[in-house]
Amino acid sequence: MSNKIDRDVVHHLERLARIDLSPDEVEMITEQLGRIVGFVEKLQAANVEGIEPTSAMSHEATEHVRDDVVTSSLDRAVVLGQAPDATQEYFRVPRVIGKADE
Amino acid sequence: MSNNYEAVIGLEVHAQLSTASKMFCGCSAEFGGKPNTHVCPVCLGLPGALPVVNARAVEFAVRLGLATECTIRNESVFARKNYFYPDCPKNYQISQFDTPLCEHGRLSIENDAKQVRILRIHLEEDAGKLVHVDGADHSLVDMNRSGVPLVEIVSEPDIRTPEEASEYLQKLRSLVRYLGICDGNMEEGSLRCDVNLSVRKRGAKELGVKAEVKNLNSFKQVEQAIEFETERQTKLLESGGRVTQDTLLWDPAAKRAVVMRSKEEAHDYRYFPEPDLRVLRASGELIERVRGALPELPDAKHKRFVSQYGLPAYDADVLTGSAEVASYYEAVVAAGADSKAASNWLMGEVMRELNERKIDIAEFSIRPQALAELVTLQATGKVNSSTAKDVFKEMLASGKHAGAIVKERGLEQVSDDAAIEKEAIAVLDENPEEVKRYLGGKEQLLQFFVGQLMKRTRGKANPKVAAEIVTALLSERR
Amino acid sequence: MSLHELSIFDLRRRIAAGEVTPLEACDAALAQIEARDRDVHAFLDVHAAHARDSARNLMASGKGRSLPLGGIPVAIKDNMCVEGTPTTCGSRILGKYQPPYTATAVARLRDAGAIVIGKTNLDEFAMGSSTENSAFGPTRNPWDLSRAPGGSSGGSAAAVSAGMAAASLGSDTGGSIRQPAALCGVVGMKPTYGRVSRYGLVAFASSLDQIGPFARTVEDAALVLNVLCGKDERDATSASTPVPDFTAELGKSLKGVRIGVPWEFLGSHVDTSVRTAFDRTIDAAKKEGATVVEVALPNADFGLAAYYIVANAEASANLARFDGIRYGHRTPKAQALVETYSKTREEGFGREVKRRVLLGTYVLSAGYYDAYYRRAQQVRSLIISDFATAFERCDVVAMPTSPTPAFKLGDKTDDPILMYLNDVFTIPVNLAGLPGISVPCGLSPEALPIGLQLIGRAFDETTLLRAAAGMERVADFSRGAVAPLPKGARA
Repeated sequence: MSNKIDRDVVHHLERLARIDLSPDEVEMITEQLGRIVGFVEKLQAANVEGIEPTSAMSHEATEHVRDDVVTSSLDRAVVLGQAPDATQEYFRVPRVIGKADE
Repeated sequence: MSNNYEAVIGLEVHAQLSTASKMFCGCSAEFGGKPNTHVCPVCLGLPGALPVVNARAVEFAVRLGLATECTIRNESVFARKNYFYPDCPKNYQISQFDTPLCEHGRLSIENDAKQVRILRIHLEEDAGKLVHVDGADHSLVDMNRSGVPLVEIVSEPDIRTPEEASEYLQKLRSLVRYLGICDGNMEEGSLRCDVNLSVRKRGAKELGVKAEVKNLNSFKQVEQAIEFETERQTKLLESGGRVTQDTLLWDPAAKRAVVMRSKEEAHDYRYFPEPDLRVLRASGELIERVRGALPELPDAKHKRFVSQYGLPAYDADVLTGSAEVASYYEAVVAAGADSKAASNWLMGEVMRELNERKIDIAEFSIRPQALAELVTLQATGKVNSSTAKDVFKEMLASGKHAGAIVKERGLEQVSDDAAIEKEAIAVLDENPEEVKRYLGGKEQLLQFFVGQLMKRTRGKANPKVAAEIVTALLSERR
Repeated sequence: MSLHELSIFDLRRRIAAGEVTPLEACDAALAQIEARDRDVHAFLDVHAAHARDSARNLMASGKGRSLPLGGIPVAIKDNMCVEGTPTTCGSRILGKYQPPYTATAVARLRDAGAIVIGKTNLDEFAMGSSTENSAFGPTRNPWDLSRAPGGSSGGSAAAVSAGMAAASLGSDTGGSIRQPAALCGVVGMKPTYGRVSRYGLVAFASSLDQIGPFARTVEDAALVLNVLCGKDERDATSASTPVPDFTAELGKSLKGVRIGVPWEFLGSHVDTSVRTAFDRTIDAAKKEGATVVEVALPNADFGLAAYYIVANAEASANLARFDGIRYGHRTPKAQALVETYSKTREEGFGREVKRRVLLGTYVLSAGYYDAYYRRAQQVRSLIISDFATAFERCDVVAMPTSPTPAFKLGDKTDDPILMYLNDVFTIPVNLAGLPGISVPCGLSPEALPIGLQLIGRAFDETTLLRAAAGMERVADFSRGAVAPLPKGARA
């Protein structure tokens, strides 16, 4: 079952997660992920027929929302101040091709 | 375009909600603003920051859902949509996936002849703005827009032509403005539209492979994109090719769509329920409260204006274009003005004034009762139309009432036949050459005589009566 | 007893009486850090000057004597934001990042008069059970410097254990407070999910994370909990359930307390020394009048697997924001955008973090969501209902906190799954969102601390703390003890 994870899968995951592993790391992580996935396979033995998934942990049935009130924002100098690359007004990033997601 | 194929179109519209603060934090959601000045740890995605839902945004979405006859879910769930992009500070967007807030509604077009079904309406947060710098190796990011509340309205693929698409969009735009939830400005980006389009042979039941076109900034561009894409796909199929599930970007200058991303590179958004937020509750009580507070919707108002005020469809269209104009109109009629006359005034002089001054009807200095007075003065013949226009101008300038102005300046229209006839005779006597030429066939000189007559009466003569009298006098002189 | 060895309760008594000043208490803590932290390495950043200033300001305000934690030196795990000071999360990827705001939990401590003396070491992004995953070197167990203090809040546990702070804050996602508490011989508590605001806690797994206190006694932990808990408008998952005085029932005996033990679940997982100490303490509790019943947690065995799916799935999204664009480290090696992201994250994240992010990405990816993520959340529902059933017959559930006492540094780092097994008893508690506490209950033959874990009903920390105080009374461990200077330590 742990053979599900091969190098192609890991490369695909690298792309999705935007992490560029070194070749050694790819090797090691492929093996380790394989074993971990093998380990979590034991979940398949659980009897979950008709069971609702728990997606949020709040114990309370009430809601938590806020009123539509404007509160103060951060100073721009603070917003941009720790950016690795910024102008006085904007964050600066390597040029983005096209308009939407990559 | 080939007639063998038909286009099958669905529209995905994003509307920015006009709340004061953002979807998940208290930063101002106002458009404009110096870059990166409406930003806090939450909408900047700083480590440790957490989202909290804006209750008003939920209410706005419910309003829209009810107005489009959707079912509102009592419990819906926010979900993370995961993708990396510089305008997306957490590199995920909080949206809704499995359980949208509103579902299965509709919007009618072509005078109710056609229903476009609405599959779903859900809440999500907007991304920041990327500013592209021509020729540079970098782009700039402004996070002011990050976190502004959006509703996404997804239609079923019920649309078939560019015109239907345009009308659907116009209707939607009018509706969100009526509901007071969005200013519907496509050029500023508060209303955005993506087109999903496939083609199939006419009569076929199955859907073809669809492509998506993004980056459309006006209704016109939507129509153009639909035409372009329909042609592209049709040509492709006719030449034996196959359509691939691509995402295309519209180029407004070149008027064409270019493939941006193919299916193979398509995103795996890895949606999962947002663990930082509770289940979104829209109670029966909330829904009824919102339903009770819904304004009369554009379609219903249009129908009512036609039947109640006896207006032609064109007039009803213009007057119900905005809830405020419609309301103003009704107040004018309620104050006693004739419904058609009031309509003419509103569509004519008033709208002209609003456009020139670039103001809303709410800022218009003449109140409905005052306008009604003027409308009635003209409709009952007390002043003629050109005098009425002058009075209108003075009302704007001085703030005085119509009746007072007419009295002060002695502008009451002269309809007394004898008085007019006296002046008419004088005009004809003073212009023998023109009389000769008129009698010789130059009938357009009637305008000249009437004009002179209006001068002599300082514009107060009833033009219709004047014309009649002059014509009669002239024929006597044959 | 030196100042730094005093419990919060005793220190507060002296400060309130004017016998000790907040500055003296602060200096004592700083001196102890001087004395032991070169060996232990609990701290990533000591705020000596700032702490002294805070102490002086507190004294000048005149409130030092009356505030509930007035003058108490506390350490904060370095995954909680403290405005204007570095917050590293034990990682290189945050670079020199300093948050522009302070975590609610920390602000509450400060408002109660506590003096923040520094930020403590942790496994990177709270991912780990030994603090060996820190990018800045491990923390060493104050009882034996060749051994791990546990994790991920190893620094906070060690700081309290070695007397460098009277209390500290940790975060617990799968046991990261309770397990290091057990290994370091201190009390560590994870409250009910939602009791303490997560605003300002750098998220690992949002539906599992909770902030909680380390202290040397149960009473001290309750005192800190009183200050930490409460609804926060900024955290939508924070609870509205009213906060009682958690010290209310600490003096009550164990008589009538029903303790449920899932003997079957303990099964073969547990070291002999741990089992011996556990059994002895349970027997002693019975002698004080507690009733011990057997309970079943039939799905707890699936807990580890469910946890590693859910936690890492959430983490893969929570850690996506670290991309070098708005703050922190950015790779110098990239030109294009995608490269900027992927090289920054490659350079900035440690191995365990990368493993978990990739695993989390995998279990959410197209085609696998139902088989892994959804199924894991279903198992979670089963575990919640297991506990609910158990609590029909008992007031608290008892288990060892950790299957083993402190292991040697380097022992488990080659095999991630081996490391994950450390959390087998703590993880189900996070999955169910229940409150859990570890209390020192004995020493192993190698003189290493052993912890006993108690788990309570949601929002019933009062009963949980009562039972914990009882266990503390009957345990074979010197209540409130600071770890003695171990072999190999600089005197």
